[in-house]
Amino acid sequence: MKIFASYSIKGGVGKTSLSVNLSYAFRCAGLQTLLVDLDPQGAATFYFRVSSTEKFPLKGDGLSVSGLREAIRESDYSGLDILPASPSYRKFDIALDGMRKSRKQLRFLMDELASDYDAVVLDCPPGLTLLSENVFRASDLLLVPVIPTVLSSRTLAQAYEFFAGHDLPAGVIRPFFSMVQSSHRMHHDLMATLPAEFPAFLKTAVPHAASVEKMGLHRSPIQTFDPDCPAARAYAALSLEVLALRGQS
Amino acid sequence: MRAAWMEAFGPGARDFSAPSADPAMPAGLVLSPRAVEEFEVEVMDTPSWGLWGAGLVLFRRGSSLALCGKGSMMAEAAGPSEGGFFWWDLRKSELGERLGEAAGIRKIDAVARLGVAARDFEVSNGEGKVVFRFGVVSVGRAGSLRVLVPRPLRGYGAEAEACCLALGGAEMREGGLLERALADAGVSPHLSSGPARAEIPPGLPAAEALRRVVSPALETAWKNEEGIIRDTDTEFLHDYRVSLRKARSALGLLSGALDAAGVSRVRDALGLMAARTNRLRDLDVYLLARRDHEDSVPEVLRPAVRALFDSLSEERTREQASVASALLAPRHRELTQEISALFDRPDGLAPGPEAEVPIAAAVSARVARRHRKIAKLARDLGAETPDAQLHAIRIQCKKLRYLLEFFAAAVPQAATILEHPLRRLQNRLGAFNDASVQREFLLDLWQHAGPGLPPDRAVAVGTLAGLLHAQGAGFRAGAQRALEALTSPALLKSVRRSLPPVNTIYP
Repeated sequence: MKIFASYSIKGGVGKTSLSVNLSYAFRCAGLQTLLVDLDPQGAATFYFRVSSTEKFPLKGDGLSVSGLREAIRESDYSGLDILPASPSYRKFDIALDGMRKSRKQLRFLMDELASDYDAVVLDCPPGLTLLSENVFRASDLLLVPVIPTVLSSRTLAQAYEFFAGHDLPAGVIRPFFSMVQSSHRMHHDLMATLPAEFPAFLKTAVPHAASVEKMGLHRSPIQTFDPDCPAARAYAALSLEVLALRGQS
Repeated sequence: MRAAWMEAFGPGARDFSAPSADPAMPAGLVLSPRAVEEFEVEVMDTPSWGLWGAGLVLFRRGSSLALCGKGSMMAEAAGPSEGGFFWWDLRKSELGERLGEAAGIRKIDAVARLGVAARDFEVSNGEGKVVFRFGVVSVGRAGSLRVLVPRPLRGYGAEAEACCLALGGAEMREGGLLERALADAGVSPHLSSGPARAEIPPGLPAAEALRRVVSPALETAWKNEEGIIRDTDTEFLHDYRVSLRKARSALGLLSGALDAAGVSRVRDALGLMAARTNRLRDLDVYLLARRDHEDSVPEVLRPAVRALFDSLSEERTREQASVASALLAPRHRELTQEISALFDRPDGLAPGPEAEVPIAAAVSARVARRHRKIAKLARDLGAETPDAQLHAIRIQCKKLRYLLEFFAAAVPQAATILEHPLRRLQNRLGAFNDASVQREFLLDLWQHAGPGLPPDRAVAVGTLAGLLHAQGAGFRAGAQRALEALTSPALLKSVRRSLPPVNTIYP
């Protein structure tokens, strides 16, 4: 089982779009996939028409495995399950803080699912919290959407700094350009310079597209209703690129 | 995702022959019909239903094969879209391996064709989320058999339960859909190509007991003729020869039960029928081991071995045509009917001097005598003993085994005592004999071809003969040990004690 996190310190960069479409692409590639919606906003959960759950308990002595299994919902697409977001995730950091080995709780939890799934995609909330550190320690790849803007690239640098300061393996960080508008001069310039500064950038870039916004109307992955649009093709290419990185292509 | 039609034959399907007239979904849930598919699916098996006997069902739809066990799918693979095939004709796959274990050397072909109509449905909640799926699958003529295949989604158990309740349907009756569909198609799985064991109580007169053994053996032999003529697979010939041998052997073992002259004529006729197929069977045995033989020689010799087998294969084609022609000859048909008639009626063959002797008495004496005879032949057996003597022992053992097999109910204790050691010995002697026959076959080929045999082919023949000789020597050592166990003084005594004197049981 490989764990892929869709993460950024910054909000509104396309994390949930990545999670939803990447999960769907993995499932289409024949991988038994679980999408874990860690964001209390529950956007990924909403996109799959699944109801948020209150059932997944955050206990003081560790995260509950049985509660986790009970909370999992099969999506409309066989081979892709969803662990829905829960409003209780707002208290995730507080709950984790009270646990022993508080930085590895998510890893322990994911290990319990190793026999059920080939791939797990974590849709993370923005920020740099204890939950984020759990994500860093649990993930095989940390996929960071970066809009080619100054602020977005600054948050990528912050993530690298955090890894360096906390003895975390920076090799798991794989940024990629998201919501790219090729007509924007700044996008164009930054896409030419940032990969030199951060060589781990993935080759695939996801363009800005109206279809991505329509996911909210269709409440399904972009590939299901507009499979030929540039963004859908980019997510498919991205899924192949990250699977190849982890030897699952 | 597994197709609903396949799950229709599994344990989770519900009888939907009498569905609710107007199934109303639970509140808040919406039913939507999805795809409808109508197609034909073939149930594949060996002529003796070997897959069915092993708890497997092989479906073919187009060129897709799906192997199911106890209702759950085990493996899928591509295969030929029409006609029969052997497991080794398929590309290497899990399905091929499983078929190999269950079907062995038998041909796999369609045993039934079933018309299937599969309709899928989805049930969604107020969010438009699918919470339950199910299929309704109709099988057979006019869709007379209908099942509901529930396909619950993880995390939506309550919705699935409510939908099933609303849809109705009943637990599947005994036998499941496949059995009922096969019966509907007029097909009945029959698990054995061998004759049913005859009922032979100990007090039955020997003549009648003999008829009860010979008659079904002959019937089985004749039944296998069609498979030999069509050349379905090599087991038809094997079963044919075994049945002829059993009938012939039974007549010889109970000599005296029926008129000697009549028995002699029948045995001669059966012997000729079997002999006519000797060459074909030799070629079959050899060709069945083709892959093993090819693998057993060095790479450099393989082309020559392949060429050798190709020529044997061509010879087999000619020999099979010759045997088929003989079996189709009107005189052969008449002869089989005449022979069967002799055993189908009590007055078919005149009684012999021992016709009225109770079968238990007749068999007891023969078992003891045969066992002693084997012990005597085995007494001086050593490394230098000619193969011919071992062959003679094998024949005696086979006769003893047939006696016990045919008339086990008459001598139950002896049959139980001797079953295991006799089977162990027979297996080893059989393997030894096979290796010897194959070696002699090769040497015969070499001698007849003489200098005309290409040098590389001659080397291949020599190598294979050498390997078979070494193989035979290994089997021979094992056979000698098994023979010692069968003829140990303790076992002889035990068998003798299990066979009380004839006049004490039937004064």
